[in-house]
Amino acid sequence: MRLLLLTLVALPLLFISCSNSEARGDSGGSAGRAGSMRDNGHATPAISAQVGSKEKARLILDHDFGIVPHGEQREHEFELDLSLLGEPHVPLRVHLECSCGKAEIRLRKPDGTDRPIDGTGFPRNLPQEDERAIMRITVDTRKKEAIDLPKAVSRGYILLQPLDDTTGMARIRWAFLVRFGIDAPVVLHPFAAIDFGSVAQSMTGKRLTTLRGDDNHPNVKFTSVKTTDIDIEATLEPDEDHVVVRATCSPGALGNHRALILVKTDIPDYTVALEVSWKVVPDLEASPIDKISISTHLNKAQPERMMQMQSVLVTDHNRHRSPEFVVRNIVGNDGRDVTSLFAVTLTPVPNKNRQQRMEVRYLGGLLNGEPAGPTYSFRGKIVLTKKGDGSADIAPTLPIDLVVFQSRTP
Amino acid sequence: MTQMNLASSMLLVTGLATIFTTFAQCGPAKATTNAQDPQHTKNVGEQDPVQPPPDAIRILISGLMLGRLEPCGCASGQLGGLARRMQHIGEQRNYDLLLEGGNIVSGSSELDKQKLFTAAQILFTMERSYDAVGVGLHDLELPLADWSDFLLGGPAVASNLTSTAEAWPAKPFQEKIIRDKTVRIASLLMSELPEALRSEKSHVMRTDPVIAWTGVFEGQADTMMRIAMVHGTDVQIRGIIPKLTPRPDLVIGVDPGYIEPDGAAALVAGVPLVFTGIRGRVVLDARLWRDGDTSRVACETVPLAGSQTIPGGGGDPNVKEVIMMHRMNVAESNVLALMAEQKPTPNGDSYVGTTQCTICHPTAAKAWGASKHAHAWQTLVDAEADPKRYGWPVTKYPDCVGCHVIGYGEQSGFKTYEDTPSLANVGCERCHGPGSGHMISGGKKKMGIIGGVLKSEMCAQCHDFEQSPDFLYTDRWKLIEHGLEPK
Repeated sequence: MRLLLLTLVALPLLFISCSNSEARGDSGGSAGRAGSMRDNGHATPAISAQVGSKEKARLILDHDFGIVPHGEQREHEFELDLSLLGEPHVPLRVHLECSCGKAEIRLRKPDGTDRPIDGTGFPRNLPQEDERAIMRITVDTRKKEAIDLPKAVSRGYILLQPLDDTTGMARIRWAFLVRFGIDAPVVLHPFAAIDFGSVAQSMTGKRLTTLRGDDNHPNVKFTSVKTTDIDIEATLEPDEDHVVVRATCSPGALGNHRALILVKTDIPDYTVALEVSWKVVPDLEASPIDKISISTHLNKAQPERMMQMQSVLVTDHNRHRSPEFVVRNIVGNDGRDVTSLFAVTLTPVPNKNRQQRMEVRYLGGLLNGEPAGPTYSFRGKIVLTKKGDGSADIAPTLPIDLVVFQSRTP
Repeated sequence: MTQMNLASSMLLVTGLATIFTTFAQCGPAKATTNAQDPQHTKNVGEQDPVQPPPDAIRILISGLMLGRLEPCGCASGQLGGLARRMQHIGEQRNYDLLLEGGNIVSGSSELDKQKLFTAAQILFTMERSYDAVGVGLHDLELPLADWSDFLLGGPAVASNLTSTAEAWPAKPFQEKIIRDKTVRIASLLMSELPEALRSEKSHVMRTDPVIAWTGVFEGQADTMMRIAMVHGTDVQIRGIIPKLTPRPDLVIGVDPGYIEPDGAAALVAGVPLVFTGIRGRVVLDARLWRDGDTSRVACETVPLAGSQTIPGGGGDPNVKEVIMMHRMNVAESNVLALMAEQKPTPNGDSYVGTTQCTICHPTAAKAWGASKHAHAWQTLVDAEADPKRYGWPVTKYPDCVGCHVIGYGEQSGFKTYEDTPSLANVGCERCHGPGSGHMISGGKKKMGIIGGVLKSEMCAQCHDFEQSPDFLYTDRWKLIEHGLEPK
């Protein structure tokens, strides 16, 4: 009973208990439900009144790092008095809800050497006679963008398991809080990172943002700029009270890329880092892939509602052309023209002026009255071209694979 | 310079990187026998940092997405989402294996079906397709034909599940040759199938996972690399590892209790064990190799963070388009209405709307009216109208709506704003339950918190660790504090 009192008191005292099933040990039988953390069927009430105030105070793990200058790191260690939990409880692991923070538990000897725990409920993960259990919290603001963050609280918990519990059913969580904010010496506006999005091979991406010192660093100088990828160029242009950072992306290899723009300042050891991301894509593009698969009964037309499921987005990134596509033809791999056997619609996508959504529906007729075996499939291409773009022979085309299977469902 | 080295250099120079590294290696064996489980020989993880060899197999590990295609966006700094994940995969270029533990969605609703279809498009048909996806209990909640269809031919693997159904899409294993090594991946389900799946009609049968594992590798050369994705609790997972013959090179635990993967593998009976985490917030970049007879794994956690100053938070633009298409489809096909009123209310009564409550509870209503709960619906409307925040039909997306209204999904609860405007906002009955019985009885039928849960747990249904990371009950209660009417 003492165990229950002591271990449950800290959670509601500090914050709402993250009520997933692990705390109740039923995660195996209710995998996703537990993971959703929304199922709160059987909470156990806290009985904090029966716990002495001194013990209660020692259970509360709460540290305030204050406002940390961006670019710096902070560390704090809590000593865990596991005896407060009554029966021996083995710390299994620690979770901190903060992407720039790290929490770890170490068992430390008087000479300062320490060892990690290995995540199991075995006695070796209890502190030995001459050891203390330490939870070390590290906050690294360099993992955050260079923007001010007001002080906020990050929640965490230590997961513990009674030594005599071989099932994990009696695990408990010991909650803790870490508070900190970030003070960046510069103001990045409007963006603290640069995302070019899709950059077509024939185009050049351009973005800008601005830099200036904040109220505490009004005279900061931005002395130089460099990038970590040859496809990204950046320049600094002083303008009134700020500096404009102009970034240009000259697309190279197809695919996703990431780099940094590094702006050196006259603040000792402080460089502003802007993360840059982009994706090089072909000028004519179909997404998510250049393929449409249809599973249907080949002897009849599909219902209209199926069009929504059989669609791709087609984009012409070249702004020197009209964004509109038209169907040139639909042709089987054997050369047979089957354009009339499919309905194809191309409609603009809201807020995407270079993009159209292509939906396809099978109208029947592929079999010409012949029976189809269960393994029959039609393979061909829907060939899109550009509307009003000169001769059909020289107009760019976007072929999209088309596969039609005989449905196996009744 | 490899991509990895470049990333490390960038981190050193500036410290700003989305990846943080805890390269750690499970140390040499120091076998100890545990009294709790004599068979459970375990090596203490010394975690000596070891650089993996250049030909180590690089594996991206994720799992238990549970329908989180993207962070919902109601808190800043949320992690995860398929757009960021696929961007990370696209940037790295040299992953040898992409493994998804399973439980891609968490139910069988119309929304779950559309989510699975969308996730499968992204995971299995785009530029870099996943190599294996495990099968969990949630995956099996969907009707078999739907699950099979919406999986889009994804590389499903379920080693100890079998089915006589023609549409059963899972194989006992998936296999890939990476450089000169053959890697075979199995997936084991530790839990028994629920009653609904054990009927003859369901066609699904579960076999002993230890026997199934042995069968997957029967007759295969010892040089074959062996990976097990195991669905269960960590106790179940740690318990089965010593029984698996031949010994796995890597076990991937798919346990919802692990919110995030650890940055280092544990060793269980000499076998490296890692976990997937949940909701795809943090994925694991693992390198696997053999050092003589010893399997070794070096791990790096990858929190999928986005920029707080870029609308949408970054991510692969093509994936973002697919997800946007999904959202538009959900709105156009009126999934919101389809999923309304699907289950009974907690106390069997009907929802009456906040206006009715205010007649007898003016003091509480006044406190409520001054709170953000009173205009929770407007928050969604505003978010929908602001292209810098959302710019898509948030008010028609069930996951979003559920936390901004009363009783969505329950009989007599919120359906659409047009149909049930009095149930918009987080009104009295969201926490206290349907009030028709209380109202008709003139207050004699008492109301409390639905189901008698802790007040804080009621809050956690929406204000969870991801959607309200800085939520402290003791602070937030003050913002909505109200008591009974004075007598």
